[in-house]
Amino acid sequence: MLYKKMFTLILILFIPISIYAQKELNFTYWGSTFEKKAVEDVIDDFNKSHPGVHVTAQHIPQNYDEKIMTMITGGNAPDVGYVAGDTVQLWATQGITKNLSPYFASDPDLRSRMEVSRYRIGDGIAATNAALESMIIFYNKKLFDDAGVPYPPSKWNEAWKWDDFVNVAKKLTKDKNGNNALSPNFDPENIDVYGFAHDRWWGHWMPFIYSNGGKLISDDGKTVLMDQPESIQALQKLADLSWKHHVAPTPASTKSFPNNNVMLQTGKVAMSLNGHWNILDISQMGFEWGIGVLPYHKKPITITFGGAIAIFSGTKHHEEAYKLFKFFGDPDKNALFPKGLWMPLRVKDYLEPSLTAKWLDKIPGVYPPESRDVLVDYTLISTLAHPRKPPSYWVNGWSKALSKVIQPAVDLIFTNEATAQEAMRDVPSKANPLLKGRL
Amino acid sequence: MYSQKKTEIFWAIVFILPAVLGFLLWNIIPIISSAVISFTEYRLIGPSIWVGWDNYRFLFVEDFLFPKVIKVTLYYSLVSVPLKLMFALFIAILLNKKIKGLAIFRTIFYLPAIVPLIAATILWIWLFNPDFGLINSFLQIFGIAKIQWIYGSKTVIPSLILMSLWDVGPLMIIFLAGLQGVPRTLYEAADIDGASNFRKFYHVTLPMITPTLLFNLVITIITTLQTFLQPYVMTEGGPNNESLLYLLYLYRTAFKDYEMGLASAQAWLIFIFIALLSYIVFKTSKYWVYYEGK
Repeated sequence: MLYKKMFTLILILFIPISIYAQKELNFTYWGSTFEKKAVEDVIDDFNKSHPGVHVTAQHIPQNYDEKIMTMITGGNAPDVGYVAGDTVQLWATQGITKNLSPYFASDPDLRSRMEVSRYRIGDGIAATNAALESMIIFYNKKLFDDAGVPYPPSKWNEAWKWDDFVNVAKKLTKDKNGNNALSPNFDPENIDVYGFAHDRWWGHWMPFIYSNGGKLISDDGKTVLMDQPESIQALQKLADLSWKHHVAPTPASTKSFPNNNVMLQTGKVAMSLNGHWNILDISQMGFEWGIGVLPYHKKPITITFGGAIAIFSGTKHHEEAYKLFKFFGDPDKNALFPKGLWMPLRVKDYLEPSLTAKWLDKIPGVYPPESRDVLVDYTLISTLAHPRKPPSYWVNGWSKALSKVIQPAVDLIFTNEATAQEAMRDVPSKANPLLKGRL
Repeated sequence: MYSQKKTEIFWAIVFILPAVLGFLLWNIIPIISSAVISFTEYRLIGPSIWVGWDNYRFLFVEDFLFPKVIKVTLYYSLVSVPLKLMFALFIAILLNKKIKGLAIFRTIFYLPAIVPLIAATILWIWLFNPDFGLINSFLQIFGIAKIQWIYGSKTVIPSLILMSLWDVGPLMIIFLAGLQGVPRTLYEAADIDGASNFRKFYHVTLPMITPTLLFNLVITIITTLQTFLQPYVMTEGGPNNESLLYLLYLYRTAFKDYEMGLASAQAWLIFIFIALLSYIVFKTSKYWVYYEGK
């Protein structure tokens, strides 16, 4: 009797202990409801394949930074989580996220994550992208067929020169009477279908400055170079699409409605410049679409970037946190890759056909056939031959300079209230004091 | 007897305590600490450094955006507040007439107030779209050229003001209550004297509703100076920072740049400004507000 009681007591005592022995990790992320579902699946898989470890995924769709800051201040920091690209440097310098350099030194698989995806802080590496993302052209095939115009090129070495692109966009732009923008009767005040659409966010203008041989910022990270002729030219040509050639609506905020995907679907826009991650949405919209490479000025390149993923310094389970960090970026395990939202980080996922098939072909009907040109070759050319990291990766104070000075000036060009020359003139003198050099 | 009183006091304290504690914890202490933080450099994580008046000095001397933020906020408020009041009063007067379908009209004009602000704001983004929006499509019928609305740096504030006029329901209801309180006898007396409609409005209605006007004025000033959601959702402060209203700037300082000290300084400045403005309105009210009882 006594033994039985003792046994029960021990059992009762043991239950909490055994739960405690299981390593509890917290993963924080943002994203759409779709992304939430996918992330939960990844976490489930991780939990199943790693006995003794239990990860809880915490979805924070809004005000992510504030929420994480509050959690950290309250001593409740997550173990692994997304970090906004603009926030990485702040959190890394404050020691909120862990320096990943030791892992890079010891793990060749991690080392194969592209250089452009690494957030470097001094000698350390604070984070890598959660995935690679690139800017490409989406197009509505029917509008091209109707106008008798060949589809946008998908090979980087066949990309349109800027003027050819403008010419094609003119053929696709139609007014209410059905005249295209090349017709002498064209009525620019009553446009029904636009040849092209883009918006004012930096991802949409940065590639063209690079393509024109320009730089945003000097290599020491202290001087804005957007007042240089290459940048001015690229920005002016983008604005001319709306105000001179009348082939694009005024680029508005990404928050505008209807968004460019819907305009593409409904045939109001023939080509839309956008991030490759829109493949997820567009592949479910039920119209004939394709992807192509960006038009270019001097070099046919695009930019890549991506939100970051990092390990938080406060974690108690370093080894498990690292496993989770790696698991998340594996295209074979994470459904966000084959579903069109994410592109892999490792060079071999692009170079080796068997690995490429694992994300491009896993789910039929997501990635169009030309993806091997646009997403594999073009990405490799842009990341390996002409690597360009957006300044948020390496310039201290960039996000402040961007939001306070640079984007407002770009707005003026896009609304035709100033020429690129006028708008950019004062940008360096105002923005330079906000920059604090390389990270 | 004595002990019964003691118990009563005890229970009184117990019942009041939650409210008092709540007020102390969630209001007074944060207010005081934000005043202290405004003299420090504090980034939520890491130490806070005492910097004296540096944050305030930065705002008034170094920050090139701050004067613009003040200019934009004043522009928005100075135009929006009187227009809103006039518009609300105008509608209230119309809805105070005995017309058919009065209840329906009153409901229609109050309806925007029960639509969540965020939903209304998104609706207005559609309306303001320069290329596909309803407003421009309508204007096009009359041959009016495209207006950039919230996407043009000169038109963004007028657009936001226009939008703010849509949401005068609550003000209108209060005006309506004030109008209903005007004694019939005064109008009858005015009628006998042969007063025109305008004279009746100017000499009877207006003086009688000045207390309502005062209330609405103060409320509108306070809420307008603190407008945040509309520029946050619609324009992100752009284009060219022309819709960077004060609270949006404060939010950015606090939660994008994590400069809590600077943000607290900004918060205190707007607080003092609003308090001062309210004080002035109340002080001058004795010259223009008429209370029937006095």
